Amino acid sequence: MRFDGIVLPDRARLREAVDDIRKGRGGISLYLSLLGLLAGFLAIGCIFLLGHAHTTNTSDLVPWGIQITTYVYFVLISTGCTFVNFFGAIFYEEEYSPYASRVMFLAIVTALAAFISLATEMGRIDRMYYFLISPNPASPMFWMSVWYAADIFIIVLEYINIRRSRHSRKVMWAAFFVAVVTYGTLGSLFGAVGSRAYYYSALLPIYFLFMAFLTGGALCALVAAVEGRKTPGDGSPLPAFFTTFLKIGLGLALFATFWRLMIGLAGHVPGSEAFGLTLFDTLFFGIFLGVVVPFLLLLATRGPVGLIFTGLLILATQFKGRMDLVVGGFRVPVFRAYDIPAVVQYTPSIFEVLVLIASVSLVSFLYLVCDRSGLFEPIPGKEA
Amino acid sequence: METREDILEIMREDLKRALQKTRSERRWGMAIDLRRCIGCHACTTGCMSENLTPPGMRYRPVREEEIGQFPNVSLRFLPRPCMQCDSPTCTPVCPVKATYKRDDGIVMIDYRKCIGCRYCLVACPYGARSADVGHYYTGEMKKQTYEVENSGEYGKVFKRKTHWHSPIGNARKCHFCIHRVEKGELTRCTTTCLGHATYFGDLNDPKSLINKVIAKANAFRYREELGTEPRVIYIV
Amino acid sequence: MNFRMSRRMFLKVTGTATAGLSLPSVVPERYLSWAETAPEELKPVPTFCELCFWNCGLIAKVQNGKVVKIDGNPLSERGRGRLCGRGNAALGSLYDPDRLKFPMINTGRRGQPAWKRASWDEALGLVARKLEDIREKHGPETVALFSHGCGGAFWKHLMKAYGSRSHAAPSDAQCRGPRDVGFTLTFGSDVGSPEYYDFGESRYIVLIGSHLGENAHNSQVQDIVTGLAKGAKLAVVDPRLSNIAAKADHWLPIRPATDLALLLAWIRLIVNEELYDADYVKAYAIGLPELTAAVQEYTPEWAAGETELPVETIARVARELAAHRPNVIISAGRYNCWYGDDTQRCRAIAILNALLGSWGRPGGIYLPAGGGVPEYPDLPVYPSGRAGLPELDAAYPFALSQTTTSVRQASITGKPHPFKAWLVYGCNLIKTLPGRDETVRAIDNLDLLVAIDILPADITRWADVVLPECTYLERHDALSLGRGKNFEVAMRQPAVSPLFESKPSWWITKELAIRLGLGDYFPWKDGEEYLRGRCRAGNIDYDELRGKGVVRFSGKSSPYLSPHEEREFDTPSGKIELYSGQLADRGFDPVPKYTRHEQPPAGYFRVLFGRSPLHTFARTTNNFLLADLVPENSLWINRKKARELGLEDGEYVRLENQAGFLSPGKIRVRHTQRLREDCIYMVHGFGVHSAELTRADGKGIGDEEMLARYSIDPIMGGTAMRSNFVRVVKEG
Ligand SMILES: Nc1nc2c(c(=O)[nH]1)N[C@H]1C(S)=C(S)[C@@H](COP(=O)(O)OP(=O)(O)OC[C@H]3O[C@@H](n4cnc5c(=O)[nH]c(N)nc54)[C@H](O)[C@@H]3O)O[C@H]1N2
Ligand SMILES: Nc1nc2c(c(=O)[nH]1)N[C@H]1C(S)=C(S)[C@@H](COP(=O)(O)OP(=O)(O)OC[C@H]3O[C@@H](n4cnc5c(=O)[nH]c(N)nc54)[C@H](O)[C@@H]3O)O[C@H]1N2
Ligand code: SF4
Ligand code: SF4
Ligand code: SF4
Ligand code: SF4
Ligand code: SF4
Ligand SMILES: [Mo]
Repeated sequence: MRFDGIVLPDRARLREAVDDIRKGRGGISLYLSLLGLLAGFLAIGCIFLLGHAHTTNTSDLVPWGIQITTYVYFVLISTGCTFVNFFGAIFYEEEYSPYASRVMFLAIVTALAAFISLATEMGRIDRMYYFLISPNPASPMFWMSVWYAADIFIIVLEYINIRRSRHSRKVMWAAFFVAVVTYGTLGSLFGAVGSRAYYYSALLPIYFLFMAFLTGGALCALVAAVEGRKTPGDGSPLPAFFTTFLKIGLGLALFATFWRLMIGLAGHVPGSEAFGLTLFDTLFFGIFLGVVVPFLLLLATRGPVGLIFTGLLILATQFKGRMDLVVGGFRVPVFRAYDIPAVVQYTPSIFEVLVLIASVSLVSFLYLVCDRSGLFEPIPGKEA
Repeated sequence: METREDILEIMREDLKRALQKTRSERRWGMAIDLRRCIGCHACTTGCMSENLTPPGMRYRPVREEEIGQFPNVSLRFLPRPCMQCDSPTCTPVCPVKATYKRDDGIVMIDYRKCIGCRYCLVACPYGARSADVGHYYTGEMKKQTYEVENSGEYGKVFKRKTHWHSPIGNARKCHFCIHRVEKGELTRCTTTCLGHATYFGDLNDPKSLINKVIAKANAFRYREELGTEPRVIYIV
Repeated sequence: MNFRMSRRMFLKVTGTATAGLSLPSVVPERYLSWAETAPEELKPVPTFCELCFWNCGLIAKVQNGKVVKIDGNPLSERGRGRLCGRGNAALGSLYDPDRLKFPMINTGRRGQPAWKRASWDEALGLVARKLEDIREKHGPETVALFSHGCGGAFWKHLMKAYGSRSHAAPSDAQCRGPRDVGFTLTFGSDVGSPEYYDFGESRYIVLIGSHLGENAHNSQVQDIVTGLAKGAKLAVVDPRLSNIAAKADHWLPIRPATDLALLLAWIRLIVNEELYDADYVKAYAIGLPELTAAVQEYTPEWAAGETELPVETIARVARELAAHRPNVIISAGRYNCWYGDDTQRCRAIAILNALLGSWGRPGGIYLPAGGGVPEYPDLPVYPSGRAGLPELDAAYPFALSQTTTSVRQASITGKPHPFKAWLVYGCNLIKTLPGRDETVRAIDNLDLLVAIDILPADITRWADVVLPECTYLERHDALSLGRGKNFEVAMRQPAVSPLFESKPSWWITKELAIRLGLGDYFPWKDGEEYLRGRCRAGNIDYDELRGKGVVRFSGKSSPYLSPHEEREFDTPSGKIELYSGQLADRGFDPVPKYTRHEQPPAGYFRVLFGRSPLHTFARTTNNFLLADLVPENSLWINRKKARELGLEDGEYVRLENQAGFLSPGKIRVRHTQRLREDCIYMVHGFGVHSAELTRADGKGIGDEEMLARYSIDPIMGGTAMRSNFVRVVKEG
């Protein structure tokens, strides 16, 4: 099996791309990514060298912060990409196929970014082998790891198949279902925590799936629009299905956000005050900025620039949404004593923020470099 | 109630009896008499010093609840160790079985296995768990040897030398001082309780003081509605 | 070379070997573990606590030359195997990196020191030279000692040998002095320390102010909770719902400064309704008719107006209390320097106890076991003081010991005689004496101020020489004698050797004595020999004491009066003096009279203060375990009032007192329903200003910083500190 130029960038073109970058012709986004990557990995190095005590602001009150948020955010995007791939291929075969390899590439790198963020937050990353030798089938987190392994395997396979033009619908279906199960499991990882009213809900796995579809769709649309802007001359308009996916995604997001809020507000168990506390954020960022505005933008604008802007807006507001979700569960402490405030605040440390930046940069850097190296171009010699 | 005799002596006798049985025949439990708890916080600091817990970590905080309005106010203190739930929400979520319920009812954490994912912290409805991320009271640079000494928790030796030394990187919580109990000593919070409000013993032993105390009293278990079946019984 | 392998090493090696050999899936526990399996044994060293003066027995557990843990010593009557919230935090003080490490000489100004590290020889040489100098030029009586704590005994001994007669302590005239005097005037003796409060056997307890639980007098807290569990009724008189008030049958949120009105109304009701213990009063007391006559104006209705308590409650508590006599106690707590008429308030409390026959009765104030340990045998006699030296506390005829403020006043004015040097052992005068300006002025007049401390506390900043004592876990010390129902002797021994260059007091004083030519007074080789000598003199088996930490001698006398027992009280009349002829002779009210104290003007609150259960004054505010739990104090304020003022819970504010002084520090607002609307409350000990105390410096506000005035109890010289008013200043 040949990898160069098909699954991985062609060596010669990669070298060319690196040369370009060296000579300052990489383009602003690439340099920014590189900078982010450098700073981010420096911070990650610090986290491992100095330990969490000196680098992170998570605590017993807020055990999960921006690193877990980043993780959740990117795995959801990764799933979303798998969904886009699936629905694209099913409903828009011809129109979609030029984008397929980009989409699956994104699915892989976002998953990678997610794991990097996750790794920075484990207390003892060196002990991950206990997942193998001491598995706990009762734990959603254990199942998550199992499904992830499967998911990664299958999305890589799907990607390779696409690149090698040996697309198998079976693998595609499998990828879709594994994705559904994996992110459902992630949803249950939160949703099954009975002690946190903010998480505890049967709706949460569904919420995660919908959000995955929206954010994955947004990233894909963004990438497609950027692509479309690069080649304005060729006249072929951006396929409409990206917009359609986004509209559907926004509808689903509205549904999930709204009902999670409504059910939450109606709750009277300890901790459900958190819904009230995050009410403004949910309404303003989650619904207004996150759904209504993007929807209007989609209606009002045409062409790549509008789509780029909308995609970015969705990605940004949804990150905020993920953060609100993860951290929101800790807003109301389960037990108050000494100076524990009634409402817990959490501000990520610079190191934690840099982990996010590292993850974002990793995705954009890998994508940009591979794009430059022509990885996503139709494979020469083989007719698509 | 037992007031004339030293209740610590009575409970030590109970403990001796319990330790003669096999482990699975014992059922450790704790009762806290809120009528007697005076909010002195001795249990909190006793536990801190017994288990050499780092800054910010309290296995047994004491909550002060103010109820009503001046001048019709009342005040209640609620000390909160780990409830050693019979149906804990913390153990099933642990992906690597680092935390588990032992046959005598102690919810253990294996400091050698724990990967520090903090899922158990999220899952415990009592906020009983903490993550040891490696803080030192006296600062990383000046850290005093006291802070890296072994606390003997779980009867093992762990020294917090660097952040790659457990229990740093792990979840931690109250373990009913099982390292003391198995040597025939009562839990530190019991022996130091100024209000004589804390009882410890074998719930399977009908003759034990703790059983006598809870039998007579008006008792409740904290957030019992969650189905966690706590082994800490509060008396009001 | 010796290649014997230690057990630790052996375990490490075998542990690693097993780890390497066993398959992870078979023995996952062992796999890649750093841990050894068998913990070492800890060596127990019995000693006693000095985080407050209660001196509870404790057992330090030592490993590799480190104290790793501590536990209570079950043999100790004052602790009974339990330690309070502070006592448990011993290691936070022992291993505090901010401790004083070596002797220091101030080359800068007092208050703005520039420290020069000195050797012990240099520092002690300097102190000795100056003391010699002063002795020659001004006489030994111009040196004063302030001391609080066990090691003070060595310093007192040194000072007596030197010829100084002035030894004062803030724990008297700023603390329990008024109570001790009030009770002594009435019963001929005081209630001691630990107090002879028989809470465990009481059927009815009244606490005036005393906030047990927060005030963590170890065995006393245990006793009161035991008493309550056995069914005792409790009434707590406190403007604030204290921890113990939360357990009370009656909480009386009295208007501050009006306690005497309540007490006098109770006395009136009890005598008028003849609820007192007539037999007891007849047998032991004098002055009932005078008392009855003197209290007639204090009707419950009048008291209700003064105290803002419901008249029914006032009457009801008095009747219930009387119904349970004699197994009752009206407790004066311990801290009593409140409003300037404190001796009289304490007298009123004593009188109530007398009327109800609680002195010497179960559940009242028991009679302590006698006992004592002689001083070290065969010491040379102390030089007698200069004849005709004017009495320091002449103005306060009933002062039981020298008052800190008289020494301070004399240091400023030179009257009745001047002071040239202060030795300050374990007292933080800057924070514990009211009137900081006066303290500073007095210090400015001195030729020498030596602070013997363990921490760079506020006072050390005013010292010329700072001598670092080692902490209580690192030293031999004087014996601690506990007079409860049994007599106990506790000894202190080092669990570990002193950190840094710190030294125990027995050593410092001996070295100083040698340099002052007083070596004969310190014949012991070391602390242990001193203790052996005293034990020999007291017929105590030293080795037993060392092994147990505390030995107890059961009381030879009964803690209670037997029926119809003849008893002579140590008063001029030999009786309990309801009416005090002594006071009358000196022009004071023989029966307490109510005086009305000023109440805060509109917009101002009275400053009340008390104790945090997790701190002892400022001595623990830098203890890293305790500072972790309570890093600063907070400003308790009634929630309704706070809302009116627009103060958020948790926000930082400053305080400004009636003299216009604005606090340098800030304090966090704590909304509460537990407090009256006319006062604010804070715990004492914060507002430390010493940059070397890295955890405590600049945290919160000290109540003493807000004292614009204090009044002095004319009977015994106690300084009343609760007569200050502040307004809350919102921070921009
Ligand atoms: N944890 C801890 N315990 C300690 C100490 C410590 O520093 N920390 N210090 C020890 C020492 S030296 C002492 S002297 C004792 C002091 O302890 P106590 O003798 O108990 O002191 P009080 O001043 O009587 O108690 C303070 C209470 O008095 C109330 N109060 C204030 N003003 C008034 C008033 O006008 N009338 C009435 N009725 N009540 C009022 C306050 O609201 C507060 O609750 O504590 C000892 N115990
Ligand atoms: N404004 C105001 N003033 C008060 C009070 C108040 O509540 N408010 N409380 C009053 C009361 S009740 C009292 S008893 C007095 C107490 O007043 P002080 O007798 O001055 O007692 P502390 O404040 O405990 O000061 C103790 C000093 O001793 C040091 N020290 C601690 N341990 C040792 C040791 O082992 N050796 C040596 N050499 N030094 C040691 C500490 O570092 C600290 O500097 O203050 C009184 N003054
Ligand atoms: S209290 Fe929390 S940590 Fe303890 S057993 Fe129950 S669920 Fe687990
Ligand atoms: S933090 Fe440790 S004990 Fe808790 S769930 Fe994770 S691995 Fe298990
Ligand atoms: S039982 Fe032990 S570990 Fe648990 S709270 Fe008490 S002292 Fe701490
Ligand atoms: S030690 Fe006892 S009385 Fe004190 S706070 Fe703890 S449980 Fe309550
Ligand atoms: S009461 Fe507390 S601080 Fe005081 S001596 Fe006893 S244990 Fe130590
Ligand atoms: Mo005091």
